[in-house]
Amino acid sequence: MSNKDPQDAGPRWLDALQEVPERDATRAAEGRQAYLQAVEEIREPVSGVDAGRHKGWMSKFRKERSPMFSFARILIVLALALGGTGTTAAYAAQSSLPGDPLYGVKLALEDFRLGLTRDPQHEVLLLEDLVETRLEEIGALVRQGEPINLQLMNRLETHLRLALQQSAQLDDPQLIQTMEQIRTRAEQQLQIMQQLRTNAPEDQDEALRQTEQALLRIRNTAQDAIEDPTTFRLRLGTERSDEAPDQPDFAPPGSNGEGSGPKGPGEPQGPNGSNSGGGSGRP
Amino acid sequence: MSAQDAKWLQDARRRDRKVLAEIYDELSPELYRYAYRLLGAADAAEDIVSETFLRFLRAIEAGGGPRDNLRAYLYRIAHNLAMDVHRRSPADADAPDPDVPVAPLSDDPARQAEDRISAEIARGLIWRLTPDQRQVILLKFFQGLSNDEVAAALEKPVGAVKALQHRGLSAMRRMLKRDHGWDEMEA
Repeated sequence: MSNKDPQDAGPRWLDALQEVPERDATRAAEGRQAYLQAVEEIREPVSGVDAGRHKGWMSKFRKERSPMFSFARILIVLALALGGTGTTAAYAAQSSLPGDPLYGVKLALEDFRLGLTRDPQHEVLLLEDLVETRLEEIGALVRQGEPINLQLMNRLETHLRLALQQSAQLDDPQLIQTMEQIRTRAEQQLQIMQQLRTNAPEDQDEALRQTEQALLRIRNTAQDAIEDPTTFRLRLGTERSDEAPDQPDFAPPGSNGEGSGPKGPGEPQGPNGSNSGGGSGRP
Repeated sequence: MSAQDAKWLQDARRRDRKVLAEIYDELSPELYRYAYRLLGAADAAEDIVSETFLRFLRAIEAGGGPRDNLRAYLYRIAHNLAMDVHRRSPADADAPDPDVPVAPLSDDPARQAEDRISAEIARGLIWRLTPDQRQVILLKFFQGLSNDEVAAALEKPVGAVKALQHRGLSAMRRMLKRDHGWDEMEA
């Protein structure tokens, strides 16, 4: 313990909580034994990208597909359907901003790409790319002095929410790997947003502040997931992959386990924006 | 992060079984006390200790776990679990534990007033705080963590921790006065 405050002693009326009855020796020993047993069963650390579990030939067709592969396929479909005009429009749409005539095409292409994706990990990374796209659009609008509309903000929030929900389906190593990527990207994006906000006109401040808050939330959630994948899944995972680990056996005494589980992402959280279970309540 | 934490984490990530056992032996007693103070039930506190350490192992095994402060990490997990337990069975959690000896009342009248604030009342007040205030009050006044350590556990600046402590204690005083007719100045 360091840096003790002279006022570290609590008020006397809290003394009643100081007393903790002696721990039941048998129960404590059983707990220790169970832990040591779990330690014995822990897997050795893996090294190298191929050291993970074998997922069979299907993964070659699912996981290795790049976003560009999907995009190229969309262009082919458009070219077949519309001729040369379709591909030209699709390329032009990529640089469009909200309010531009081709922006709807851009969003439709994004939805199409998402629809093609079946692998949850790939989908999360694609959603992260889309988050990046939304942030680039926000940056471009700020530089042009254009307003940031609600639709854009909603779409950004949706990408972030879906990325977390899809992540909950990954197994632990995949989840942690993906969350480390998300955390790193969110930190970089936050820095960019903070710089942008410094020079932004006053009427854009609120939208940029909301964007920062959204990025902060996802960065903190990613960190929580890295620290405790089980709690992350309990909060966000509504559907779990067959490869995901078993739910914990832990159940509180006297609970029926119904209707009182951890809060989902859309439910009200604790004060100060801190969630009740994830608990870290970061700034 | 303390040097001890850093060494523990480094060795834990290498799956050093001796160190993993050492971490449990060193930290499980204080986590038990923390969980007990929150829930007032020995069995639930033991369950929380077990689940906290199992989650730690699972996270380490998958390549995750705490980035730096192990102790703060374990407190966070334990707190989250205790909140889940409390949410599911608040009535049970606040009920008096028959195993807890009742402290005799003091001869001093002022002291008697404070003694009347039983563990159950105090625990009830604790649960009515915000999650962050609750953690600050418990970690600081009962677990003996410094402001820096509490700040690490909550991942907040020290200034925010001090503000949470002040607001938490003020809220508890207000609740004591309103719900139990107790006034610190009179006691």
